Amino acid sequence: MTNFMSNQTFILIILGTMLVTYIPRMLPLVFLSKVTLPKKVEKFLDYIPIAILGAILFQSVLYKEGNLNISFSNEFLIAGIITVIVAKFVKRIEIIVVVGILTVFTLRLF
Amino acid sequence: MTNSKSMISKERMSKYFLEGMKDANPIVLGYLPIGLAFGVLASNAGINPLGVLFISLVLFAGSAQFITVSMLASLASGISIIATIFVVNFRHFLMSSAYSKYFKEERLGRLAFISYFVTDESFAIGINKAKYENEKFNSQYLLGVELTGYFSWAIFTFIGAFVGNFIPNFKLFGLDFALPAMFIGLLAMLIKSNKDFIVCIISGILVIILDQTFLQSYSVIIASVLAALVMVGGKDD
Repeated sequence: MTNFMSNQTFILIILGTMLVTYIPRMLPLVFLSKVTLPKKVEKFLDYIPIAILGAILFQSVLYKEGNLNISFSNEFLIAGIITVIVAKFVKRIEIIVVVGILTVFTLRLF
Repeated sequence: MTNSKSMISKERMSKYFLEGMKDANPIVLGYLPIGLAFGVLASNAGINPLGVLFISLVLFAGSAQFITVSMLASLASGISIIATIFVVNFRHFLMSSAYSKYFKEERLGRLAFISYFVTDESFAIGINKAKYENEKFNSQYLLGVELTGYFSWAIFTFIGAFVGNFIPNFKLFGLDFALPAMFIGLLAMLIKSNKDFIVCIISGILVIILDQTFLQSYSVIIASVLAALVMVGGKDD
């Protein structure tokens, strides 16, 4: 499957990455769903989606070609701000995504 | 009687599944440029289309696949690759934990199955549904979202590996902004209060700061745990 290592090694490594990816994906869903968690933990978990998606979003718009870029030469940052404003008024995901794409497309024309 | 009942529930099940597939449309759009790019990168690194398909179907993780391929190509040891991927993908632990309260009644086998496909993108869609349209959310729905992402990712990466450097540059069309735009839209729906907004901003600022330190590989996990803890630490309302 590659031109630089044996199929056996390749398959074993990928299976290894699958295992260490799958176990953290699986354990909480299988076990936490069957227990009653303390109120504080529930509250903590309720904030996790916003916290984690916020972190991923900041990472995806504040870097350009791998470097932190908080300036108007970063088209993702400008498009991000415009998309946030649009998302305040429009609730349809498809529209928000299309507006975002068109914004980046337009910015790159200049 | 039992027959017609089971038919109805089957019909409902597929209805949820189809709704999930439909909601996953932005994911498909966002995976197109990244999936193709991954295929191209992997084939340039010396992995053939079958190997690319194998990685996408078995590991199924965006950024982790890019890291895996670049480490494979630089002949890093298997153990170091696996350890790195463990760290990079550990954030799914938090996502899976956040899902858990919505699956109290679900069979363990099915939970073990749907958790295989947890990604940032399907989580963003799924948790929105679970919170705000809970009557339409169940494991069928989530599978619809997840499998749509899974198979489109596999197909796009495979095509990318096949076509190699001949694919058009999707950057020209701004398509690489599809996933950030989707996250913005979904966050806008999730954020209902000032507290929600503050958590989002704290987490975002923390992740950028942590990225500049030796904790970079753990930045998303640490930032989101700390941001969520800030709110739990306060008084109960």
